[in-house]
Amino acid sequence: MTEYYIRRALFIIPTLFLVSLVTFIIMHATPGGPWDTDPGSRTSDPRVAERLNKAYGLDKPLYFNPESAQRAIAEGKEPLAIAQAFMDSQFNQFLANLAQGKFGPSFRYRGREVEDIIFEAQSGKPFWQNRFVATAALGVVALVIAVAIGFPLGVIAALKQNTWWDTFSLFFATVFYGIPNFVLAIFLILIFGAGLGWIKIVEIDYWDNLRPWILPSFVLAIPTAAFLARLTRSSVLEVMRMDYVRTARAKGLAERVVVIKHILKNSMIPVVTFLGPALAGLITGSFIIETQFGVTGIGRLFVESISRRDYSLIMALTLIYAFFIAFANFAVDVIYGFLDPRIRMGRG
Amino acid sequence: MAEPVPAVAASDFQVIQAFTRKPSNLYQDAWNRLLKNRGSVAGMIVVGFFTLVAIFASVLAPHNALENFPNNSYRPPMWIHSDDPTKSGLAEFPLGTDTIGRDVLSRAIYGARTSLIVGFIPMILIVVIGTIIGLIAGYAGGKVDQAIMVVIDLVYAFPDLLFFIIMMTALRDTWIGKLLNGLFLLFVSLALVNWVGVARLVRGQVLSLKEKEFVEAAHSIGVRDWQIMMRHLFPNSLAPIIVSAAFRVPQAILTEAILGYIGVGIRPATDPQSFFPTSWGLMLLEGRDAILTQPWLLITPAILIAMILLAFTFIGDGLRDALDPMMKGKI
Repeated sequence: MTEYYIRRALFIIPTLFLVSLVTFIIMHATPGGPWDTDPGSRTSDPRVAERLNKAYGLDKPLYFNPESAQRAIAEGKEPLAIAQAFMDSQFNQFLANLAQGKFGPSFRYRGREVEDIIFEAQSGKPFWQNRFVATAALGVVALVIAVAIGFPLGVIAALKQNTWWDTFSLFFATVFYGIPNFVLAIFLILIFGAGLGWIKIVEIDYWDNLRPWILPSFVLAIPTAAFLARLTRSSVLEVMRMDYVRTARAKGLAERVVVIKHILKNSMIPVVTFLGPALAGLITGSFIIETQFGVTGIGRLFVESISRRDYSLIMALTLIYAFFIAFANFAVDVIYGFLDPRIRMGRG
Repeated sequence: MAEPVPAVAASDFQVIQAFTRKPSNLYQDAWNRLLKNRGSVAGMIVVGFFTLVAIFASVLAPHNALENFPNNSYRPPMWIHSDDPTKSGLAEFPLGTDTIGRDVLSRAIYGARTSLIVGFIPMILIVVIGTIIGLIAGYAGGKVDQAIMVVIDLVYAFPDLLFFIIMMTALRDTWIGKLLNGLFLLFVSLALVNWVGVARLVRGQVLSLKEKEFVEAAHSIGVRDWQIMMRHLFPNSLAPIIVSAAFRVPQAILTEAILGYIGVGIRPATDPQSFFPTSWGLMLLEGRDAILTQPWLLITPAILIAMILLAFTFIGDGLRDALDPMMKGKI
């Protein structure tokens, strides 16, 4: 069984490799480079572009470097040095950096390393006030809101099945599950921003006060809350029909005890396992919301870096997102195994 | 169906008849159940309405989607009146005009075409590819299955929206990106990622179905493998495929809207004769930057997208309840 988990954990590595390779292939299969659309870089001079390419290693071949290997052979170097010369390419450079926990220099934020842009706070701010934490915090707050709304709604709907309560909450859960949150955000911005003037649409400093967080985290939370309500409802309904619930009632336990100790506790299993992927989904799925509300997180950075062709930044962010998703999937498998031994046996 | 035998008395016959019903199959039953689901019926009406609008767009739209009326830019919807006659709504442009004076209603009508085609074409591609690969993986088993599953797991782990964004941005200016104003690239991107969901589903179905007696019986009388797949395995896993397909449609429409909104969706058409001159995602993009001055540019596509996504969600929910009554009420 341990072997299965180890295999499953190790599978994350080829996954991330594939993700970076595919991203790399697509990004480089395109006409145009990072210097093209930048009005400040004076790309009209090809010599400047050449130097920039050299400085950033963009003059190297994409995957393998046979030329450099041939040169090394001609110079009569050692086999190791020849192999090294053969591997001297853009993609391998990226992998080598990655092994040291670096993403390389950004192409558009001149003189800054990608990991600094993502993980370093602006000067004069505490270290934790960076883009990555902003996105993560938004995701966590949204998850808390989603649980706080979705779980009780699902429980009430199930306990009062086929009543007005049930119909009402199921209808709203379906509606808010169906409407995408960025469309919802449009309406909320129009109402609270343009109409009532409660929020500013211009860029604001998110770290100094709490108010700007309310709308984005709430909007981000709504589809998750709706899904959670439906999940909780079906889970509670299933547990309610179990024999042990009937037994608990038959032996005369108070209804409150039956509901809390027997029904709710057992119906939490699918809900809890959903929380991991839900958090990963909220963190990786927030880039439109971040763009809409001007949150300085990595999601907005991703949208910006795409149009600017900031290769290293795109690679880094894609990889971070892919890691979140792969890790969440892995976590679900592990948690499932612990909560339900039958699954564990079946998989082993 | 119970055949009445001659010895039965007339009164007994009536009793038997009361308990018999017309012969029916899974899909007939499911259709009847679907028609009893109010949400699904409402969804089907909405989708039917949008389909008609999309087909007859050239008849229904008061103007061409790309025609601009130079003196009529920035018009609000017709029910908004202002003291400034150039900024007042006109009946000629019921939902207002955009920054360069194009009719919002006409654009919305033509946009329905794009949204529906984006919903259905990738769905068909996904279902066909996913079903074939899933059938092969599940039926062949062994090394073939393992190899296919590794590919499926790898694709599954790729963050799909990121993949779409990267594809659409990177290949935007290549010839692939220009085919059908970028619709072709969108179809391909959606299909490349989403077939894995269907393939997983079909493979799971086939794995359990192929152990059943009817497949063994077919084997024993020498039915060919591909015939077993097409005549026995495929029809028996059709119901979950349909449910899954139903949820692919809104997902694809949403993807188009998201990509459009962040500015990497389909390309704006320049040819007024184009069959897909605009899309709701493009309209969102045009409205995005005018949110304070011309909110109607944003509100119209936002409402339409919300409506069609809700309609498909209700249809999908109803289909799942109808095709698999055991699943009724789940999630």
